[in-house]
Amino acid sequence: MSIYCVSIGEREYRVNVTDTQLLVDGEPLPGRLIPLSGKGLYLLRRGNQNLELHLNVGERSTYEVLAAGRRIIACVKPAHRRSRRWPQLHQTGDLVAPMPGMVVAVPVREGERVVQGQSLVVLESMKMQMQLRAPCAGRVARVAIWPGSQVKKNALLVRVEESSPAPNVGELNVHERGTI
Amino acid sequence: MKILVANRGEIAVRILRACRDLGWPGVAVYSEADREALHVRYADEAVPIGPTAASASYLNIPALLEAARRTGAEAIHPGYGFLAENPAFARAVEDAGLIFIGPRPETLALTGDKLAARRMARAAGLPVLPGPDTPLPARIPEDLAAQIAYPVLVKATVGGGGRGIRLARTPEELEQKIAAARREAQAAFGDDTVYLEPLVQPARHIEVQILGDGRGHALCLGERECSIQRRRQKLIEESPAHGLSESLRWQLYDAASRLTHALNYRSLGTVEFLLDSDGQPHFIEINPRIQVEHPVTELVTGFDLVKEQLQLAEERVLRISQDQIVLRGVAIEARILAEDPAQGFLPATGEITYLKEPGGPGIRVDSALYPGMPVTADYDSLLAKVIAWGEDRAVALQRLRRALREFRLGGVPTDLEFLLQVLESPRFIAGNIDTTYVETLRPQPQAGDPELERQIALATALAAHRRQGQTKSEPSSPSGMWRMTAWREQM
Repeated sequence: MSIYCVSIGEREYRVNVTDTQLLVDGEPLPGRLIPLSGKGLYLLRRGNQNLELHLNVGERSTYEVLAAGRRIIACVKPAHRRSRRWPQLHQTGDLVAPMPGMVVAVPVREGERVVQGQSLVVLESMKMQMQLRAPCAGRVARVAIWPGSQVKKNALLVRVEESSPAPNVGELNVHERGTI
Repeated sequence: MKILVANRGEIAVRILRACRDLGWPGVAVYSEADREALHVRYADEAVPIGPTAASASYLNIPALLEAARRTGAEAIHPGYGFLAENPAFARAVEDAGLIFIGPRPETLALTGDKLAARRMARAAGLPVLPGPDTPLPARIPEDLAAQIAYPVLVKATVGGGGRGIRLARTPEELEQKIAAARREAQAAFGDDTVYLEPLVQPARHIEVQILGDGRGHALCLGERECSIQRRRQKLIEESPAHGLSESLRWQLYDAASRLTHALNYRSLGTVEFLLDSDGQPHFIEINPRIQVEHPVTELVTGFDLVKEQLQLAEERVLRISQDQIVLRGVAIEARILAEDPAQGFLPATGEITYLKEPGGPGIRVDSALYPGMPVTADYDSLLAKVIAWGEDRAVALQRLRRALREFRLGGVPTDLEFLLQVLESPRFIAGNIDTTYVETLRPQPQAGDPELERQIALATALAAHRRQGQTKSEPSSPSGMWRMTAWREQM
């Protein structure tokens, strides 16, 4: 899965790209980007709808986009390279790194329902691996890291939006890898 | 007749097209910066006339006359701006034995002095704003100072394009505004003479198109409304003016005709009026040249104004009569400028990386744009004009909006979205506009349409994803590829 942060004006969009799904801010947005013969020309095909776009890549991952009579500058960065754009406030459902380390595994996905205590992140630090667990039940609202991410102490790892547990607990995927 | 076009950009292409339509050869001139410009490629012959700076090229009278001599041009069309209203240029052209496509030099001298034009208009019985028709002295006499009604405009006597004008709202501001207007006028036109004019606000800017043969005959080709202006630069113009009563229309035409005859006017001209909130017209000035917004008149009258100008220069008589001029439908023009509304309409520079001009029913595009064209700060910021015609105003407006949405221009920010904001605003749709309207609109960059933004976010993320995937699968460097091939061969 690849995560991209796209800034358009004041707004930021998170785009998740996997083999099976495309999500924008956690909502599915299926579509295919088809290059056309003209340089920089693409079609974003969604069902029967086509959106013609002209993309011009500029400096520092900025794209000048011409579409639907608009000229929009979009800045695209892969998620793990973004730093300090996260709000610093930590909410109840925020899972933060207790110490600096490297993320080994992230067994959950954005949008997934989790129960309190469920393993969300496996972090390796000082040659030890630890599982970091969901502080509350709810929906995974944000996954801020990726296997291989180096994190500082107190870095936000996963944000869980608190809500009542899902009715069918059996659907949840729970992986156990190493123990502390 | 071989015509030399002493101008650049879209108007040069426009004039050269009219020459083509007449089967006449056209000569383009160009500065260093315009080496690859469209008007240069369009013309039958093209002559370089100097370095990039306008003063050294498009304002360089000896260079222009030399270019005409070298190519054997018989007439010079000055376009708009640059030397179009310069009596010395017109005189130099005629002294060189060439035809100047425009009014006589004496007329240019008169119209160039706004106070002289006002005196002439007053004498011809036109409604003129009250005020002294004399230049403002360096120190304002007490009795004049006492009579000044505020707010008052300080205006440069010479020049145009909205420059050299300042507004003084209170007596305390007057001195400072006069100084500022004088400075700007001196820098722009080399003459710091100013005069005072009462401010008419809110007002509608209505202008009348005239064409005279210089021998006592003149035509009136309808009026245009140009109230959509930003800092006195026109953005959107239309013909006819919306909601004018027939009697007011005839009053304007009559006034314009009287002035045309009083001047024994030759060639194209525009008589400008301000309509105050009581619907009373006031003469402002006469523009002795073809104007940027001439296409709206062409579309509602069906006549090619540039062609008429050219043929008039050759034949010396008007080929059309007043009763042939019937306004049909409505035409609206939008000016596409290289200015960024999100940055306070700061002029933008860059390079046109992608271009797709609109088309379809009722759409005309006057532009000299081409992919790869550099957009610099050397000349004005007008990129293109999009004009829509419809059998009524609603149809013209709908077509213009459609056309602006079709326009694809990459590489520089433009005022396209701001134009759409104006054209979709209730007041504009109702025709309830005046010269202050644009100042009340705040540009809303990328307003609305979150659905479109989400799709764009997806598309750009996918494009970035694709690029990442490509860099991983391609050989890391050309030399790496060669090494691989060499190794395989050795095997």
